[in-house]
Amino acid sequence: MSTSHQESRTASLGRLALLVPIVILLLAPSLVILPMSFSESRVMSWPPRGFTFDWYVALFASGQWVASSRHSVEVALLSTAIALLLGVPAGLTLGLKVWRWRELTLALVVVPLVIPTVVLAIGMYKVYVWLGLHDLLGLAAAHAMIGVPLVVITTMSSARQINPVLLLAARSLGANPFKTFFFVTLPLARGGVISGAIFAFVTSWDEVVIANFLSSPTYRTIPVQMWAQITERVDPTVAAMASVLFVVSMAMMAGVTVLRWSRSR
Amino acid sequence: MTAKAIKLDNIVKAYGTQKVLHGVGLDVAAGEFVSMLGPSGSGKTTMLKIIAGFEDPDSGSVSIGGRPMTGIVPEHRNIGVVFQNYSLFPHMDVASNIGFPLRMRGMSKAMQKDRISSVLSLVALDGLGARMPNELSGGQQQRVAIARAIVFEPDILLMDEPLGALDRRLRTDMQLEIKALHERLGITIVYVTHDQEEALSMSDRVVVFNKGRIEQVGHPREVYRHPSSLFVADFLGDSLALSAHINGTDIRLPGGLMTAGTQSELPEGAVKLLWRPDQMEVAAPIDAVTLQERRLSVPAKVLTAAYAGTVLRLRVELSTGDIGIVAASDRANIAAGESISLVLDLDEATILPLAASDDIPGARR
Amino acid sequence: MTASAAISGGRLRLPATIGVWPLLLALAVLLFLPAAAIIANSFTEPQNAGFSNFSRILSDPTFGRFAYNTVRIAVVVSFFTGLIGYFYAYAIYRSGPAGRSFLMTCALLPLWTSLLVRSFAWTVILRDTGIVNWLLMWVGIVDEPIGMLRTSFAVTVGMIQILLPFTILPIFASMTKFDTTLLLAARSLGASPRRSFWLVFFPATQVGLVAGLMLVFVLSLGYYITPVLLGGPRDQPVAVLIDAQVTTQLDWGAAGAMSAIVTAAVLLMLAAGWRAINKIFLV
Repeated sequence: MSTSHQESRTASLGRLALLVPIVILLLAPSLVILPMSFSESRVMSWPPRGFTFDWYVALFASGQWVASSRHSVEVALLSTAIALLLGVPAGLTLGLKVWRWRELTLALVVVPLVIPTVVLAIGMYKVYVWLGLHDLLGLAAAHAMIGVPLVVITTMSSARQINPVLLLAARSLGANPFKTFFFVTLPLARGGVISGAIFAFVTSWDEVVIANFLSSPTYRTIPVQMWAQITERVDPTVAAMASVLFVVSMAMMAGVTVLRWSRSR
Repeated sequence: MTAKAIKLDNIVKAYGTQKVLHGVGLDVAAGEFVSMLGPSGSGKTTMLKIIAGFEDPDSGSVSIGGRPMTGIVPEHRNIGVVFQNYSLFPHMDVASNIGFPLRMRGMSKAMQKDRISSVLSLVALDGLGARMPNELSGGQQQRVAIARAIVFEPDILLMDEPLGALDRRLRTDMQLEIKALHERLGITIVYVTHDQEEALSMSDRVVVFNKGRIEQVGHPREVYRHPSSLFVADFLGDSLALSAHINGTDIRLPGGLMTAGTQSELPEGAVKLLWRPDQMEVAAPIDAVTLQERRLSVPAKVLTAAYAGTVLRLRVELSTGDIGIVAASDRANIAAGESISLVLDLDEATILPLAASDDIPGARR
Repeated sequence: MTASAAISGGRLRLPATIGVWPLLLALAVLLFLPAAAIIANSFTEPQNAGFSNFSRILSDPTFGRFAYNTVRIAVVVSFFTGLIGYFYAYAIYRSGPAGRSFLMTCALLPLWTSLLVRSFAWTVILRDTGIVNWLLMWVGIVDEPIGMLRTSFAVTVGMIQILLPFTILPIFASMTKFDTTLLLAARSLGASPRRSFWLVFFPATQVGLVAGLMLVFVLSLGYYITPVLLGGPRDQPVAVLIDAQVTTQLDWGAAGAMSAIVTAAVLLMLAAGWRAINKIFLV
């Protein structure tokens, strides 16, 4: 480029000066939770005072927290399984085929992402009772519905990378449609399926609003438990719980990054 | 391997309102190497897809080895297909790619291994079984694709522009290899291409497609020397065509009138007389068309001259207004804009009726 | 899943789009039916309500105030996420490989952290005894903590942080698709760097900005958790009001009418931005 060195240096310094506050803004919430969870102070004031595992001990000693952790895992796993079962075939079809109603189908699949969750939560609260869905089944079904669009989108974008001639090649070599699906289509879309599964899991793992309506006092998930705690009386147990959630999410993010990195090599 | 014959009977195919095949019929003998040649959109690839079973014809039928294929899905047809861009499964190594059709047929692991290694040595890729497709060169990938298509001993082998992605030098090498493979295996091959040199040099017979119809079928020499239409003449190589008019056995030429000679079955009315580059002589410029002992000399102007290895490829405009391609010795040193003349032997000309729909040869270049 | 899905021998043929049917059926029963049921309440609670619920809430100043809050927050948040997001995406685009992966990680990190955890974290940061006030007093800018929690400022900052990835990612995606030789072409034709940015680069990447803005606007219309935890009484959105109608007022008719209005608004916005969203996210 013909711009002088001086000019580009001031430009990049200026950019850096603006960038630092944005990076702080992005990272701040993730960075304060961990220190607060080890603070001895009960009121969570800055700077954290002392160092203690008390809140974690309290957390793991509490039957409620342990039960909600188990429920959260159950719901997230079941809803992810449902989302994959429904979303992977749909994503592959949307990625590999062109038909008249394709775009409308896509729109219908994307809509659940934007309808306010409060509206969905109240509607599900009403309708799932008739359908006999409650606790684990109700929560998993609801979370699968809001997680499945992500599975469809990621699977679809992987499927669009597949050369459709490969599927014809498989047929000419003697594979029937089912064998073609399992030996060729699915392995080639693997990356999208895995990312979709993780997104669906995280969506369920985090979800509060719908879970608030569909859970019962005996079947609560972590976010429901946290919400109740935050809106009543905040103490560092919540920070400890938040830290646990944060660490789990970070582990997942690291897993995806490593996966992507190893695949790109 | 057991070679089988193919019979295509009056095949019609349309996509929506667009008809791509208008009743195509063709018999391919067992063990024959047939090329389907034509411009893109002429229907040759659709024909291949119908034989493979990827598409169903709207009417008409395909039989292979006397067995009708109607309603039989691709995986039950036992046809090997080699695709244009290799189409190797990127998530499988070379051995698994080649083993795929054997695995689909439930062959034991040990037998698969034997077959894979023997077919790998057949295509000169011994020891590369553990490589992934993206670690191979284009030529190697094409060999793997061929190996995968023949390893299960298919009844016929279909090849869809298999060398299209390779560079020129590699393409000629691979042409010879495929030819050798055909002779060695004796398998029936249907080879789709838009490259006339490839079709002419490899096949037992060439089938020329145009706008969803078969324009001509024949031995390479026959279709090159005796094209049945201006389209075939033009598509198969360089030529020069001179407008003329036939009345009974009289041919009215720009330089005068003369009687037809060796050509039998003359068409009536407007025709084109056609010569291939090697049937014309380039001579010194003259002023007017002269006719002398069945040899016609026509003044011409060189529009462009391109060096093409051993010859100079000249695009010329005759004084009659016809445009065509001739070849001159590269020692002739002729440049664009120069005046020359062409000497044409009337007994060597191919006489083609001028259909209203035909494009004028040479005009495309 | 392949071109002609046929089972053994080609007798039984499944429709080519069979893969989407189970999903559409499940969505219809488990998601669209509930949404429709709550909206239907606006006409059936009380019986033969007709449009009375709509006229009732539309003339109710409370609904007007909450609707205004919702739109105000959505507009402000969209504006800032668009501005900051474009700048940040451009910074990623112009950075070297190391800077690129660092900035990208910073942008993705919020997406991976629970919404509830992040909103909660902002309450810890912004409270009177939080880190921001501690810093301000330590530097000596203020003597007394300033009340930031439960203000519009807190909701706006929280939502910007939470929604920023939704503008950064599509804008960056549209930048990576940009053909840089066009910039060289513009320069060779006599455009200054500034003019070639605004006349060539920006228009080419606008689709990512539009997609991101649409998404942020639509998503912020339905936000619930962040305003409740961070906002004051003047910052509560319609989502909170809907929740209150059901859980405390037991006024299902009003809840239905409000849900209908919000959902219609969201779907209209989605339709308006569909081309851009489809191009960036769904290709």
